[in-house]
Amino acid sequence: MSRPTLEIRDLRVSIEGKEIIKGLSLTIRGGEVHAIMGPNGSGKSTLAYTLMGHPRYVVEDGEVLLDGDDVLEMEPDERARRGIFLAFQYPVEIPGVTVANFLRTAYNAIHGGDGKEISVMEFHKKLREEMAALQIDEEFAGRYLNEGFSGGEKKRHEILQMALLRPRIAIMDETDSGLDIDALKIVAEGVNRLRSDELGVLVITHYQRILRYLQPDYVHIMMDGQIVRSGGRELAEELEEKGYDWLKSEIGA
Amino acid sequence: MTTQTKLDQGLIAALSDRAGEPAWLRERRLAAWQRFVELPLPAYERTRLKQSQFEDFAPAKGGTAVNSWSELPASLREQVGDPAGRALVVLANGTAVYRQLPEGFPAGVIVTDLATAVREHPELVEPRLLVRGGQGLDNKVAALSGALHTGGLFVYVPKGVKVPVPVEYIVWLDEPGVAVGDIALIVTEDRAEVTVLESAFSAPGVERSARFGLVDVFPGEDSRVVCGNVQAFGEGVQSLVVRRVLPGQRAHVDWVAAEFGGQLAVNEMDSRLDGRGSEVRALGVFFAGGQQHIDLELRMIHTGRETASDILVRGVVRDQGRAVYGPYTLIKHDAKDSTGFQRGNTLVLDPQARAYSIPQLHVQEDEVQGAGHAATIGKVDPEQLFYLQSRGLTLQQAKRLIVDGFFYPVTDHIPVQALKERVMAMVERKMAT
Ligand SMILES: Nc1ncnc2c1ncn2[C@@H]1O[C@H](COP(=O)(O)OP(=O)(O)O)[C@@H](O)[C@H]1O
Ligand SMILES: [Mg+2]
Repeated sequence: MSRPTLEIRDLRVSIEGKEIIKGLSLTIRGGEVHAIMGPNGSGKSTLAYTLMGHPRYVVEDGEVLLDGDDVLEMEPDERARRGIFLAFQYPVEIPGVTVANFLRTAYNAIHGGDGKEISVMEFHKKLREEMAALQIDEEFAGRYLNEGFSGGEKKRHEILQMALLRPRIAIMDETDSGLDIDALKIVAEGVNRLRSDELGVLVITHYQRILRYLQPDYVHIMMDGQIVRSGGRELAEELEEKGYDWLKSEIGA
Repeated sequence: MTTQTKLDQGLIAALSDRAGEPAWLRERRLAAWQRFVELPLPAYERTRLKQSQFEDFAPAKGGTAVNSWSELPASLREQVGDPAGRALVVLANGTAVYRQLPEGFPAGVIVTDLATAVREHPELVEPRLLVRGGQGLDNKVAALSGALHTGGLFVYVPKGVKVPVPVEYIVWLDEPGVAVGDIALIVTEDRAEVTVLESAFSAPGVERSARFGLVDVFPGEDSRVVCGNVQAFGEGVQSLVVRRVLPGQRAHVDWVAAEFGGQLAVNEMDSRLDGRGSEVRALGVFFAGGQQHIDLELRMIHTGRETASDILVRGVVRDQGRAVYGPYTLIKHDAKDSTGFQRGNTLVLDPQARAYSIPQLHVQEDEVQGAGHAATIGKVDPEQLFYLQSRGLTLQQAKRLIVDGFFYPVTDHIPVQALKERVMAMVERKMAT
């Protein structure tokens, strides 16, 4: 596997005719962790969904390239097979479908090309290992997808999927929200274990709490559909200290 | 010689002659034809049936009886699978062609085709065939089956005997343009237990043929009966079947109806809960695609005290398929301390598919333990599809997983493993086309 590069160039996105992302550029390479921070409604989830290919979001202009290939041309499942992963802010419930069945289907969809499907036994061994690492109880595998999961269970399940599917570009949309400090550590450790030159990470968050554990290389502040400032880790601390109002006056918004 | 393409009384009489049946049966057959002629067309709310759908058919030539499994048509054998260790009665084009029972099948249990039973066990058959507790034939489909039948199934389980393997009734068609009739009669004495699984299917490409079926089940006191059917005819076949059960006191009956095939298919299940403390549970699965029209009519009529009924149905419509879910529960006056529940959900996969849900619940008795119904018709949630696609599943795979999960609450409750697997395999097959 090679080191991935995701390039977002002058991206403009609208929902139901209303422009939400208003010209955004960002390049994420393997081995890097980027954080995007921003107030509610600034368009963070819109960016995440757009990168994954949700049909509701209309790209009006700009480009998204993965290793030079046009991502916007691809269906969501093709993007996933090419290595883009989104840890959902609000994972969807699917009744009657067990976690184990879902994960095995997804695993085979991503890794099982050309009839190289993993055996049920082998998969379960792998699943048990990954679940143990995230301190997820074994009975979890028999439950229905996200049905009746607590907030923390949903988020851990998203990271479990990331661990199994081994994406090249992972976008985490507020994976930290709603987690207590112990769960947050487990999730952050889970992500840190996956870090390598073959994985680029985009962490979307509201707070800098998770960033203490994930140690991003770059921090970007997003407001009203644009990245208004980029910097290193210290930018997150400054923002936490002084608040978004400080930033607004800084940039004259 | 011209080929007859309309059913009439002369033809019914000729069937009787050919069968060489006893006078009592000939009389009932002709009476059934008379009832068929007199009765109005069934008034299914969303399934309009025409007179032509009952009579514009040629009579079937029928199948040829064989002595060994390997002599049966390949397409039939393929669909039934490995026969080893199974109890089978096979009808081809309306006539019994093959029967086998596994070694060690309990003595005293009768599993045979109907004509043989009429000859060999008239004392068991005559009191029950086409009379149903004195109610007679009040249904046009049942009446036509009674007039037209050329074969069928007879199962009799003596007192206290538990039949260890499912009795399988295979209804197979490969003649085009014909109507076949068959009757299954299932009788259990007190404390007996049996499972009867019916599979209906046709050879590839059979067009304009029809099956008219009647299944009558008489569970004795404290007996337990499971009756399952998987209807998987090709899309050129019409399937009209009436199933009735009259449970004795404290008898427990599980119906499992799985309707996948047919161009037009109506499965009417009629339970008369008369025996005190008797219980009937109905599980239903349907899947209408292409140009199919499927109607599942489930009636639970409570007349006895402390009776319980439960209906749980899930169905899918896609393409231009149409499906009707019509449960009807009536708790009559004096059926004290009874319960009657219905739950039904239909998933609509495509914009041109249509689903109708017509639940009816009538409670005439004040002192009931509980009664209720819930029915929904919904579409696949696009957020579910997106979530699954974002994990690499194609749109088709995502739909398949959602549909499997949707059926799960019913398939999970199917009490016989072999039947559960068959139903799930049919869902797979429908989703794969
Ligand atoms: N489905 C939708 N329909 C219409 N507007 C939406 C929809 N989803 C989000 N928006 C709007 O888009 C803007 C950005 O939302 P979002 O991307 O969720 O922000 P964030 O994740 O940063 O809180 C908000 O003004 C929000 O109201
Ligand atoms: Mg958001």
